[in-house]
Amino acid sequence: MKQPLDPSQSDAHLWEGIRVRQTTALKVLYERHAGVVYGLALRILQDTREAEDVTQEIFTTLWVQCSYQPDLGPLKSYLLMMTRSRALDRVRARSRKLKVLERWGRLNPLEAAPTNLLEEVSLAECAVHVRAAMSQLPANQRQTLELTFFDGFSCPEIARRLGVPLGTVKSWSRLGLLKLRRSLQGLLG
Amino acid sequence: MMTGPEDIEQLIAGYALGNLTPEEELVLQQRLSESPELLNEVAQLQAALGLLTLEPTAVTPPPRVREAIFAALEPPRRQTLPWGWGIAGVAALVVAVVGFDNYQVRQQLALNESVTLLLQKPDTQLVNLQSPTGAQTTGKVLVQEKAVFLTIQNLPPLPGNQTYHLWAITGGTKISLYGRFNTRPGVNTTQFAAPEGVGPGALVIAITAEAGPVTTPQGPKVLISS
Repeated sequence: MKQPLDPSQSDAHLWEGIRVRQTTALKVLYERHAGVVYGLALRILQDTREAEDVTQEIFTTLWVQCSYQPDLGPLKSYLLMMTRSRALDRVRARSRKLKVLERWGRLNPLEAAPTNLLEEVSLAECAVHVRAAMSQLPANQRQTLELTFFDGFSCPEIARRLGVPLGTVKSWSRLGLLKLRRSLQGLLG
Repeated sequence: MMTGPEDIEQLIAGYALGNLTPEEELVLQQRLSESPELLNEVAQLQAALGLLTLEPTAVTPPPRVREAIFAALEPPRRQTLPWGWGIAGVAALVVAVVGFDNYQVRQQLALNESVTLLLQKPDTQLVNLQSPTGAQTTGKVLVQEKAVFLTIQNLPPLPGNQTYHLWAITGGTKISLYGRFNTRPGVNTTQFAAPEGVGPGALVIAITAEAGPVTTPQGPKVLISS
């Protein structure tokens, strides 16, 4: 039976729809969040087919697993955290940079973020702030952070890639993260 | 050796980034034990790093992704398999599993390759599944500490909200759910994340057909370990 569809419903309301097996709820959530999920997967994997697979996997998992817990944060954060995790799993499966990715496994950064942050400010707005903060970083710091976070490269790998000493890479990445934190202080509370 | 406030900041950033040297880790541990309030700094820097997840621009995926997701949810025809689960009074369980069908054959090939590699590991359990009714349906389950791979043959898709459930019986009467799934023509592999503490060593593994998501088996058993 077709369920009434109201695209303006909140994620929390739509999640309740998923819990009672309303495919229309999943459809609305897909239309709402597939872009950011696919965009993040594409950024990490640099491969459209694999990013498509991850996107499919994320939404299918949301439906089949039903393990999202609203009290741990917004649904979109959950989807993005899961997307990054799954995408990096695939990077790991390619046998690239295994060691550094294992290290990332101990972090669930979005879970570590204050849970009210992403509820009160739209994620689109957050994304604008994050991009602005990244654009304000010196190029070498920004590049080092991106190579670490999205590509899973270790510091020695980045050093070889950029042709600079290991200590310089560590310094760039740490200073970059500290500046990023200062720029995003308003979001972090 | 680093000790000043700015140096400690850098050490915490290095910790969040995972690029501390062993010596730096010792210094940081010492400072954290002396000043637990620094843990807030750790959390802040980890959270700042986490916000990078939002940095990529949203990109609309091709329509085939949406089609693949929702095609798998369409109600196919059902085959009824009468049965009753033989174990009663089993404690409820906590489920943290993932199930999915990927829509491309290359995914299966990649998974088969993974399975071949996984079988070479010592902490792996491989279990054959057979139909209790003598049907031609068969399956194999590969259980690792953190992942479960299922390959099945001739298992018909379930309609509507009905799903297959893959269960493990461990420690006598404890039943754990590995995951829920449905089948589609041309797709015969599924992967789950193993629940905590339910890795290799299951005494019995079974698949039931359930009317909806359940946490204890209620529907007919369609495959069981031989």
